[in-house]
Amino acid sequence: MVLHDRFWREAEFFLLLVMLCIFFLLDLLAGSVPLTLSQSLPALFHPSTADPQIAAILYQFRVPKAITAVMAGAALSVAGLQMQTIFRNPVAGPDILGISSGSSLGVALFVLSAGWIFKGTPLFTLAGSWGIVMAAWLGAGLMMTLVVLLAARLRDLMTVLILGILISSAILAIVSVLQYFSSESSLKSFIVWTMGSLGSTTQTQLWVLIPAVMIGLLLAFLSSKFLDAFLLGENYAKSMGMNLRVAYLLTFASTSILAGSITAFCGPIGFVGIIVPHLARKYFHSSLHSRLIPGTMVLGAVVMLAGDLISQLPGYDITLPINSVTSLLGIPIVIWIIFQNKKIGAI
Amino acid sequence: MPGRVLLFILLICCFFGCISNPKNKKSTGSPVGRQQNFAATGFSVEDFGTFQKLTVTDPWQKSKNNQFDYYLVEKGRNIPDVLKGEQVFQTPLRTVVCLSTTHIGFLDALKEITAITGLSGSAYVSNEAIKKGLAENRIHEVGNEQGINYEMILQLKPDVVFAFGVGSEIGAQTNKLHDLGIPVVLVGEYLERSPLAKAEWIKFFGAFFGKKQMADSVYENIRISYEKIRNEVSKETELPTVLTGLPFKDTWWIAGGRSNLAELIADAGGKFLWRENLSREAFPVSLEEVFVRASKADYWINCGSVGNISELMAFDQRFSELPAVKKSQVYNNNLRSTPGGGNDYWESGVVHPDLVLADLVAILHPKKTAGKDFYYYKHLLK
Repeated sequence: MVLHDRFWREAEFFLLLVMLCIFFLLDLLAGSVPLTLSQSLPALFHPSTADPQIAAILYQFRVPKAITAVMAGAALSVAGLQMQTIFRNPVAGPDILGISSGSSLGVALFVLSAGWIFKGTPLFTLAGSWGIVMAAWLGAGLMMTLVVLLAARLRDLMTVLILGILISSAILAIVSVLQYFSSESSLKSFIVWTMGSLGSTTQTQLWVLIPAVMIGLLLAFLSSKFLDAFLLGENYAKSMGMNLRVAYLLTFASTSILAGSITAFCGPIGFVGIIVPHLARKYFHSSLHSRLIPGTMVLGAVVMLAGDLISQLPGYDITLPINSVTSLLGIPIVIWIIFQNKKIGAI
Repeated sequence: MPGRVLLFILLICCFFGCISNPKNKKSTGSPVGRQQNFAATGFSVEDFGTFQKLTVTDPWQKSKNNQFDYYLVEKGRNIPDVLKGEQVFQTPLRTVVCLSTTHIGFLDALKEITAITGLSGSAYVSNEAIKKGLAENRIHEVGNEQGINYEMILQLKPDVVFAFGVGSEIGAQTNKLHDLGIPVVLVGEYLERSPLAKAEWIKFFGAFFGKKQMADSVYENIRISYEKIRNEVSKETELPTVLTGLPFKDTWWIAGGRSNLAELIADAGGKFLWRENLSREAFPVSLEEVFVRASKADYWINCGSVGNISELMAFDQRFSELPAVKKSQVYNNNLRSTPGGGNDYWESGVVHPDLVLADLVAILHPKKTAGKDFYYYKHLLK
């Protein structure tokens, strides 16, 4: 009986990995330039002998985009899972602590105000995409520091949550003011950033994104035992001898690194972090975080790849911004979660 | 109870009765002379002997059948009775407020820069005289779009405010200014289909300053110059292909196939990469699509506000492999950009399309125009 269960558990995971590979391949085929399997496969495995343009499209555009989708899906989902467990809130997401708002403020200061603070110095054009990444990371990092300091000083976690939400709102108000005073082209650039993009990460940037996400995921995995204990409440966790401070630090650090890195490179992407943990719990029929974390990673990657596939609108010339697709997909699922709330008390 | 209801209904009827009926259109008689515009369709000037009637049609995007009549009477003449209740301006105007920097370009060509007492977007101005006026506080910033400083405009008491509309919400702004007793004129030059049509609005402005002949002759010179340059390259058979715009995040905004820029490229003897597109506005194209098409582009122009190739590649280094970049044939229209973020291309460039065309011909057909200096464009180097 035990062996039988174990087999099914491993089979579930294996099936998910197979789906990941299939969706990855499909994502490589989807794009505005139509490529068939017979064109793409040789170019993928033997880029030196294939048509240089097809190889360039695949390796410069589609492979980085697919990898970014996998990273973003995994990172945001695991961050969301941690937040849902810690706060025992079924609709918590990675930006509940205001990481996205912090990034938005960083990018807003960089894109919108460079013109009138530095009197027209093209700060934006000087640093280009790396500048935005650094600004977003800095914003997220500052927000994380603030949250960790608050969590260290305050006893009650709910207070931290409320303060986090209030600070987010204040930050977004500041961003509105910056938007009001900016020029049209800067405003457009900022708005486009908020729509999220998976395709603008270059190969060089991936060398920074992948390690950052790996570190975040590792920290998350290390905190599995803490998260399991949290499921039964803070007091139970304390009674088990768990050091709450370390637990918070670990999970907040992990969430900030994961959410901050993805927001820095891809802009704010919503809903994925909220819905995937629920889908994972339903799929794996388990609440054990040592299973859920890897499972959420893979499922998150699959969901993000699916979202990217849809946003490419295969067959049409135009593409949709990724944030719109995840929102359109995510909102019905979130509503379903809210209606199922009675059962979610088991989180 | 019924008595109160009846009283209420009576009051409502009185209220609606107080709303004035729409004025019947008065007959102004037939014009003595109607100026035939060469290319512009957004305005018309009709001469009625004792006064002139300027009509602006559909001065905002997606506007349909919206017409604005402005009547001009020379100072010193009596205002004809038939114009009672209409918007009448006494020409020449003394002071104006401009809500777009393109208006500065037109007024400069008419040598009426000194009439400007207020403008919108002072940070973006290129014109030296205006910048001096701003620094010496003779010209004031009046805010823009949602944030118009009505009090400042009231203080300046201009003879007219030249405004422009993006959508129908401009109605709210013009109503507000009317309520304050400030005359507003809507200018729709940016909606014109061709560069020469845009420049022709100098005649519109000229009428307000009593400078019809000057406006006509300035425009004639521009038109002849433009057509001469166009004819020089019209016989070319080898037309270079041209890419415009620049990437940002996942998309690249390309100028519409029926936009002014596309027309300038065609007139300069070039082939715009998206010439089959029917849009007048810029439209988004995916990075991949641009990458594939631009592998055939000989030249890359109008790439945002970058000053050199490194800045351009900072947006997305994947495009460093494009032939236009490798052959160092990237040009941007920001030679005359100001530290404040303004660009004279959008200011005087609107009224001098011949200079813009000359630059484009020099870029696309260097053999024909060896040694010519650029006016608005600059060659982007590493």
